[in-house]
Amino acid sequence: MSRGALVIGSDIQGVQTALDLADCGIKVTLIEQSPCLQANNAKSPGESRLGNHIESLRLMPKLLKAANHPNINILTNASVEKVRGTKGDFQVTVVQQPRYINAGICTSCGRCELECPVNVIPLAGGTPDRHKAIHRPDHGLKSIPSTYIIEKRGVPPCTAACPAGINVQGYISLISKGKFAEALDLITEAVAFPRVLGRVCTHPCEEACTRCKVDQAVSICTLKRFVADNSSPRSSLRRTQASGNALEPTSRPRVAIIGAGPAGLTTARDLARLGHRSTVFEALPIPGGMISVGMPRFRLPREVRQADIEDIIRLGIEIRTSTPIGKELTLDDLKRQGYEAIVIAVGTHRNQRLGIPGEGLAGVINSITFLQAFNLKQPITVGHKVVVIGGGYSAIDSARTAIRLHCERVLILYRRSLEEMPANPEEVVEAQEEGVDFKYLVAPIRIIGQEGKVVGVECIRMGLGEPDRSGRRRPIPIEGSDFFVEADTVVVAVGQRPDLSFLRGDTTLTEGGKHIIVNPLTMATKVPGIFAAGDAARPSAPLINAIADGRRTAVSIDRFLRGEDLQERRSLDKVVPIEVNLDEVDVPLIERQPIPCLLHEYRVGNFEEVCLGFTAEVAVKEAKRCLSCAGCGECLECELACELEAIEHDAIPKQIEIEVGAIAIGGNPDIQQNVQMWDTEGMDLADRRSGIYLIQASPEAPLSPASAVASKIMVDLAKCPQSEKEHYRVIEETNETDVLPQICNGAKGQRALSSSEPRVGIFVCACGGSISEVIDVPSVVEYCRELDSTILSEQVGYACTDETAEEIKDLARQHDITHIVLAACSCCNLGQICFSCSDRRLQCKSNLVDSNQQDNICYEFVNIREHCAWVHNSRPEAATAKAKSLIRAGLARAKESQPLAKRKHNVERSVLVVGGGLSGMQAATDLAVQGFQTILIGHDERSGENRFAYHSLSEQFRSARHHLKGELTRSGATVLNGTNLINVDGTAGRYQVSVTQNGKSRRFAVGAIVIDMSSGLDGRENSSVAPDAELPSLLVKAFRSGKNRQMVGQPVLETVVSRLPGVFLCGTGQGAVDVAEALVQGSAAASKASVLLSKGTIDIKQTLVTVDHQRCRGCATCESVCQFGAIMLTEKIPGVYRAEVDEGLCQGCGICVARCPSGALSQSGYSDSQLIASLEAILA
Amino acid sequence: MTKPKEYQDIDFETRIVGFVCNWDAYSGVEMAGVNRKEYPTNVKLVKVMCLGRLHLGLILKAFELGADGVILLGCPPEDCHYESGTAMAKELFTQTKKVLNLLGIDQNRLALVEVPLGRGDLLAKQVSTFVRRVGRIGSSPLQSSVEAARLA
Repeated sequence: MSRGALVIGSDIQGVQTALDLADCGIKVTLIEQSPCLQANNAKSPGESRLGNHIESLRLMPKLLKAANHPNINILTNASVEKVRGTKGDFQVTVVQQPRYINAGICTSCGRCELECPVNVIPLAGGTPDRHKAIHRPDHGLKSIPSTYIIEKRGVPPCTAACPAGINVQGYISLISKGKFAEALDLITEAVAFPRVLGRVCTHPCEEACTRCKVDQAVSICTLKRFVADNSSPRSSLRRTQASGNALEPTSRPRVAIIGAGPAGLTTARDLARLGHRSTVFEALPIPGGMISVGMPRFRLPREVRQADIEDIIRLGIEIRTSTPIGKELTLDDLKRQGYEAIVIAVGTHRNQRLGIPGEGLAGVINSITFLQAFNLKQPITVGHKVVVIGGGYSAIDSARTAIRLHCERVLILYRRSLEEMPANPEEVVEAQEEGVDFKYLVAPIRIIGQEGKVVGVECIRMGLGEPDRSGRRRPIPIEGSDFFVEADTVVVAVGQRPDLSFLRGDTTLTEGGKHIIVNPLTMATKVPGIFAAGDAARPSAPLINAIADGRRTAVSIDRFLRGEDLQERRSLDKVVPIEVNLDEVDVPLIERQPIPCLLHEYRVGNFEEVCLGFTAEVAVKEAKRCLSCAGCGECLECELACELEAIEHDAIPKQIEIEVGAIAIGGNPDIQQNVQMWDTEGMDLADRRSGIYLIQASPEAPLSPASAVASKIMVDLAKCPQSEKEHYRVIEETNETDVLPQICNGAKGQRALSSSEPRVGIFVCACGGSISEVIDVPSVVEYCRELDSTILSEQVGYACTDETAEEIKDLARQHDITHIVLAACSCCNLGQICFSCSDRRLQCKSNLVDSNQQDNICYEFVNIREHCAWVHNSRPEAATAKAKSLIRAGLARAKESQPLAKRKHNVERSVLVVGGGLSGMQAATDLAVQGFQTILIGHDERSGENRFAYHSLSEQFRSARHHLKGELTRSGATVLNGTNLINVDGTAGRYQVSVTQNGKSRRFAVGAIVIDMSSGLDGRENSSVAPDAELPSLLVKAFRSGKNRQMVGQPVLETVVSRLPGVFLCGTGQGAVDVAEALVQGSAAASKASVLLSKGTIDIKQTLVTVDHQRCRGCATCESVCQFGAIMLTEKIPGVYRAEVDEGLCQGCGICVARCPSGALSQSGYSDSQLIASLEAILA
Repeated sequence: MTKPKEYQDIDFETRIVGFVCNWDAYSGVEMAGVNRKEYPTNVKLVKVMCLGRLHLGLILKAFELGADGVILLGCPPEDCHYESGTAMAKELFTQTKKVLNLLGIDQNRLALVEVPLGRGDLLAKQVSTFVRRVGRIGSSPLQSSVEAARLA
C-alpha cells in the first residue's frame, strides 16, 4: 500500500494538484515528458512566441514552488510505460530519457553552450528554435529544472557510413567554429593517416550526407585534409584517458605485425594507445605499403604520407623495413622470438594477370610495378603510346602518371561503361582534363609483339548483360568487333591479390591461397594468436576499410593479450543512422565550395599535387554547410568547458518503478491522450473508482478542477487502510505562540547589533565565467576587502552549488561572521518567489539560508549578473565599477536592517462548512473522510435547491444530492441543522465562530471556513446566516470586491481562494447552477482547507508592515489606502485608536508605509532607512 | 575606451537612480539581463515591492544625494499586484514633478515608465532613452552643493 501520489504532466493543473497534495504532506512524483516543466501548454498556434513566453513567466512562481517543494519529486524527460495494481496500490513503470547532463551538478552557467559548435536544425515536430545542441530547453534561463540538456538524435549518416567510425559531424562542426586543432584531435582519436585520408579517401560519408537531399554533400574529405594539413593535434590528455589507457608500452614488444601498410600501422598505433608495444616487419624499403608505393605523388605527395607515418612511429613503434617474412625469417621464427600475437597485413602486392596471350612481352608492365617504380625512384622505361587496361584507381593513377611523362597518347581500355567504373568519377574527369583517352566497353584479347616487344593490343568490343554478383553488368564480347590499338607500353591494372608465398603453401590460414581467412568481427584466424587485417584478409577495399580492419584487430589483440573474450559486446552490425526528414524544414541552398586544383597546363610534365585543399576561410564556410542533422556531434567540447564535470555523454535511459496510491493526469489533452497507450493489463481507466483521475480543466476556472482532483486523492489515500495515520506528514510542529526568528533581513535573533559591530563577509560569484568575463571579479573582491566592517572578501566559482554553500558557511564560522553579502545572481533574501526568480537562485538560497537556523547569519543578496554583467557586456570597466557600488549598497542595506521574523502559528484541525448546497456537502464529506473535525451548518432539505430547481438539470441535482447525503452521513461530519452563523473572529487557523442553534448560542474554534455561496449567503435568500444579522464583519473581507481578486504570486485565478486566509469559497459562478461544477468547487475548497489544516502552520509574509505605536496618531490614512483591509484602527485603550496590521491579510506592498504622515509604519526589508542607505551607497 | 555607438551622445557622468517595482518591471530588468539587452552603466536600480511604497521624501533624497535623474519603473495599472500601486505612483509622480519645479530642478529629470511583464527589451530601451534625456539636461544643480557637502 503506497501513500504517495503520481501526477503526470506539469501543466498548470498538474502542478496545482501536486502542490496541494504536497502541502498536505503527501509525497508526490511529478512526471513531465519534455525536458523541463511546461506550465503553459495551452499554446494556441496563433499566439506569438513573446506572448507564450510572458504567459510562462506568469506561471513561473508556481512551477518554482513545485520544483523546490520537499515533497515533490520531479522527473522530467520521463513518460509512463506501464501501470499495474489498483487504487491505493499502483506500481508504475516510468522511463526517463537521459539529459546527458547531471542535473544535480549543473549550475546552468552556460559555458558549455558558448563552446558548443553545433547549431541544431529544427526538425518537424521538434522545438522550432535554432539552438545549440547543448541548451536549456524552452524558456532559456527560466527553465525548470534549470539544467542544460543535450539534444542527441542518434548517429548521423556520415558517421554511420564511415567504416572506421570517425566522428564526422563532430569534426565538421568544430571546423565551422574555427576549432581546427580540436577537429584534428577528434579525427586522430579514431584514425591515423589524417593527411592521407584527406586526399585519397573514397569518402562514403559524403555519399551518405544529409545535405545531398538539399543540394550537394558537405566536402567532408577535403575538410579533413584542411585540418590535417593546417593544424597539429593537441594530444589532449583527457581524450587519451577517455580511450581507456594511458600510453605506457610494455618494455618488450609482444606483437609482430607483418606489413607496414595502412592496416598494419593502424593496428600498431591502436595497440600502442592501448599500452602494447609492437614490431612491424616491412618487405619494402619504405613503410606505408600501398600508401607509399601504390599512389602517385600528384595525388599523395611523399612528404604528406611521411608526416602521417612519422606521427605513428613517434608512439614508440619499431618498423623494420626491407625485412620480408618468408625465406630468412618465418612465422615460426617470430613465435620463437617471443611475439605472442602476429598480424598478417601484407596487403595486395601481386597483380592479377589478364590471362591473354602476349602478357610476357617486353613493355607489358603491371600497375603495381609501374607505380612502385616512380615512388621508389626505380628505373623504368615507358614508351610513347601507352595503353592502360582496367578501370580502377590504379588504372587511372597509372594513366595519369604516364601522361605526365610526355607520352604521345595514353589510352585506358575498360570492358564496361563509365557507370560501372570503380574509380571515382572526379578522378576520371581529372584524367580526361590531363589528356587521357578512354575507351569503354573494350576488352583486350591479345597483346601483339614484334621481336619480343609490344606493338599493340588486339581488342574486342563488349556489350553489357545481366548484373553479376558485384551488382555491375557483366560484359559480353560482341562477335567480330575486334580491332587493333597501337601501343609500345601496356600497363595491366585489372586488380591485385595478396602475395602469400611466405606461408609456403601452408593452407591452414588461407582459402585456396587467395586470402587469409579471418573472423570478420575479430580479424582472428583459425590459429590462436595469429590475426590478419587489410586486403590480405578479404577482397580488395578502399584505404578506409583497411584502417577500420586495423582498429578492430588492435582491439582483438588487446583482449587476446589480456586473456579476454574476443567477441564479447562487439558486433559487425551496421550502425543505423538517424532518419532525417527535411520535408518541412527550410534549409537555405548553399553551393558546395569547389576544391581548388592545379590548372591543367601546370600539371603535365611534373608530379605536383593536383588538388590544393581549402583555405581556412573556405573551410569554415564549407563546414557551416553541415546541417548537424544528428544534433549533438559528440565533439566533447562541452566536457572540456564544464568545470563541474556535469556532462554525461554516455547516459542511458533509466527505468524507474514507482509505487503510488493514486494517479492524477494533468489537463493537457495530449497527455490525456497518451494514457490510452499505457500498458495497464486490462484495467479500465475510465472507471471512476479506479484511482486514476483526469483533470478536466476549463478556461474560466483553471485551477479548481486540479484542486478537486487533489481532494479526491487525499480522500483516497486517507481511506487506504494502512495509511490512515501516517500519510499526512505535518511539515513542522510548532506551539501556538511560538515566534521563530527565522530568516533575518539583517540583524540576528539573539545577538544585539547595537552592542557589537557587524562582521561582514562578502562573497563574489564568478558564475563559472559568465560574470567574471565582464566584471573583473578579483578587483571587486579586493575592493570589498577595504569596505567598513568587512572581515572577509572572497571569490567563489559557483555560489549555487552545495559545496560552495558549505565553503561559505565554513568561512563564516571560522571568522565569526555576522552578515554575509553574496554578490551573485540572487536578488533578495526573502522566502517569496516572484516572476523573476529562477530554480538555481532558489537552490542557492535554500543551501545558504534555509539550513542556516543554527548559524544565525544574516544574508543579503546582490544580483551582479542579470543586473550588471549581462547588460553591460561591452563596457567591462564600467560594469566592474557598477558591481562595486551595487555591493556597497547591499552592504549598507544589510547593516541598516532590522530583524525580520517569519512567524508561524498553529492551526486548529477542524473546519466549518457554511451552507449545505452541493458544493458545501461535497466539501464537508471530503474533509470529514480525511479525519478533520468537520461541522456543517446551514444545511437543510432545500439547500441550494432554489437555484437548481429552475434549471433544466434539476433531476441531476436531486440525484447528486441524494448520493452526497449518503456519503456525508458515512463521512462522520457533524451536521448542525437549523443553525445560523452569528459571528466570526480571529485569523486563519484560529477562527472563533459563534452560531445560534434553536436559540442557543454556541462557540467553537476552527482552522478554516468553507462557504458554499450557492446556498445564498451573498444573495441572502434561504440564507444560512441569520436573516436579521449582518454578515460577520470579518467575512466581508473575504468577498471584498476588487478588479483583481488574484493573490500576490498567484497569477492564475483560484476561484476557491478568498481574500481572507483560511476562508474558501465554493458554489460560485457556474458552480451555483451547474452540478458537475458545484461538486468540483466543493472538492477544490476542501483541498485548500486540507492543505491549511494538514500543514498545521501559517507562514506570514516577510515583507509585513509593522506599526510603531509610539508614533501612530490614529489618523486612519493607512486604513483608507489599504486595498486588502489589512490595516485598521483598533481602540487600544478607551478613546485611543492605533493602527493594527492583520498579518494574514497584509500583502506587503508598503503603500500604507508611504502614506503614513508620522512615520509610524515600516516594512521589513524595505524600510526607509534601508532604501536611503541603498541610495547613499549607489550615489556615493 | 571608446563608447559604444548607441551611447555616444550620452553623458556618462550623470548618475541615474531607478526605483523598480518587484513584479512586472523587475521581471523586465531580469529579462533584459537574460536576453543581453544592454543599457548604460550609470543607471543603478533600487528595488521596492511596489512603486506605491515610494514617497516624495525618498525621491527628493535621491536628488539630494546627487542623482541627476530618477526613473520610476512600474507595472501597467491592470497588472498591479496590489491593485492601486500604479495609481499611487502616478499621483506621486505628478506631485513630485511640481515639487521639483519649486526647487528649481528640471522636472524632466523624473520619469515614470510602465514595463509590462517580461519586457526586457522595452526596459532597456526606456532606460537608455531616459539616460540620454538626462544627459542632455546635464548635471543636477544640486551636484555642486553635494560636492561641497562631501568635501566639508
